[in-house]
Amino acid sequence: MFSKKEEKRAPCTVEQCESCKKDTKRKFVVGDYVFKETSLCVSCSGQLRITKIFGEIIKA
Amino acid sequence: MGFGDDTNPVLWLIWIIPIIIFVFYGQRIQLQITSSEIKKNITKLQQFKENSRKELINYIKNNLNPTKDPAPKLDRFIDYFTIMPVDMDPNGIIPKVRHVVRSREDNTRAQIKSLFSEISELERTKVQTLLEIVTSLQLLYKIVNHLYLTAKKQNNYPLILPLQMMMPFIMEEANALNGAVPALKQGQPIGDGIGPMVVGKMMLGTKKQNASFETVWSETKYEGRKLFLIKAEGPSATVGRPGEAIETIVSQNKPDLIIMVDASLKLEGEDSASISQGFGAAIGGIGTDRFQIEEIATRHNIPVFAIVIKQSVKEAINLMTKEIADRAEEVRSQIYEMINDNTSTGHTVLVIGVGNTLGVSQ
Repeated sequence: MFSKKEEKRAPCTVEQCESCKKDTKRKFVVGDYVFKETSLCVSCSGQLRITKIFGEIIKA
Repeated sequence: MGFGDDTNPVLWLIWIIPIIIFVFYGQRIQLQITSSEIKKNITKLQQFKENSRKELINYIKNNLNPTKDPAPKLDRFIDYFTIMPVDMDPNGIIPKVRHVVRSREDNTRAQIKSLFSEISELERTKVQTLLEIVTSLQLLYKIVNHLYLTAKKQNNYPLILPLQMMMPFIMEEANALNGAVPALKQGQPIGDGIGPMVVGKMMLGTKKQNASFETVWSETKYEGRKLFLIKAEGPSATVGRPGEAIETIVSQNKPDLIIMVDASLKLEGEDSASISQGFGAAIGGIGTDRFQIEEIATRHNIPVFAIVIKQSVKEAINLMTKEIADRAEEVRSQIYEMINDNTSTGHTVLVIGVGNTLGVSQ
């Protein structure tokens, strides 16, 4: 009666371009870590850096 | 004839027999009901313990190429115990506690390394943390099972009452530990990593130097103040040795203010990911680092301010939630506000990001 339904969370990675400050969210990939420099921004070719990794609630 | 009529012997017996049963066997009946609930939780604890052990061994076998079968050695570790120093005379106990805990950590580190011909620091710290989780689950299972079996053996109902009261808290912790395994295996940041995440961003673009074991520091400027930043060395699964790191920095440059940023357990009713400010050394663990920091701050008369990000046990050791990750910017602006309010141009401030820095570099 009082038990709460367990929330399931999927890991997400947010990357930010150091030039245009655009954020992009994608699925977490093993090897990702916060502040890691990844690829180049598709809009301005600036350096992308991971700013956040978090678990997002999966909606049923 | 009404129900209150006690002249009927059949009705009289219906009343008196349950009373006699409850007088003589009440405790045993309660013991049966309570113990069946506890038994269910013990089965769950056993599953957690076995699953986490299996996951650790499979992770090592499938990802890290051990030189031999790791199971026998790991099983020996899982059963390791630590005898804390005698506290009848507590004077000077902190260095003894530190020595015992460090000896255990050093030995575990060496034994894990001996399982592989080569292992990165990131993987080594992940295995070490996973091993601590399995050991904690094993300990929880053993203690609960011992108390349960003792109460059953003695048919002693009062003995099972404290266990019944503690069971929800024990299960909350066990669920949190069990849920931490996937995040640890994949190297994802956990809720406790919010402190290192806040300070890690302030360290970007600065020269990182070794402050103490698995702990880094760097220097930066902010509105005419000199900032010294300390955090555990990421992205490994470590909390570093902030006490020793502060000792090193303070011996070279006495700061005018120390700010500590850490995750803190929230009280029931408090919002998750809420930010609180306060005074004193914000650092968990067994207390040796907190003692060292308090001692240094007192000796040099440095005020210690704290900023904590509230979270539950589960959130603290599981994959960081979006709500907690989103608070990093706000915590950083609170740090700068605190620096502006409490120091002047030319002052030096020491900012420490406390917590496990898994999945968070600098």
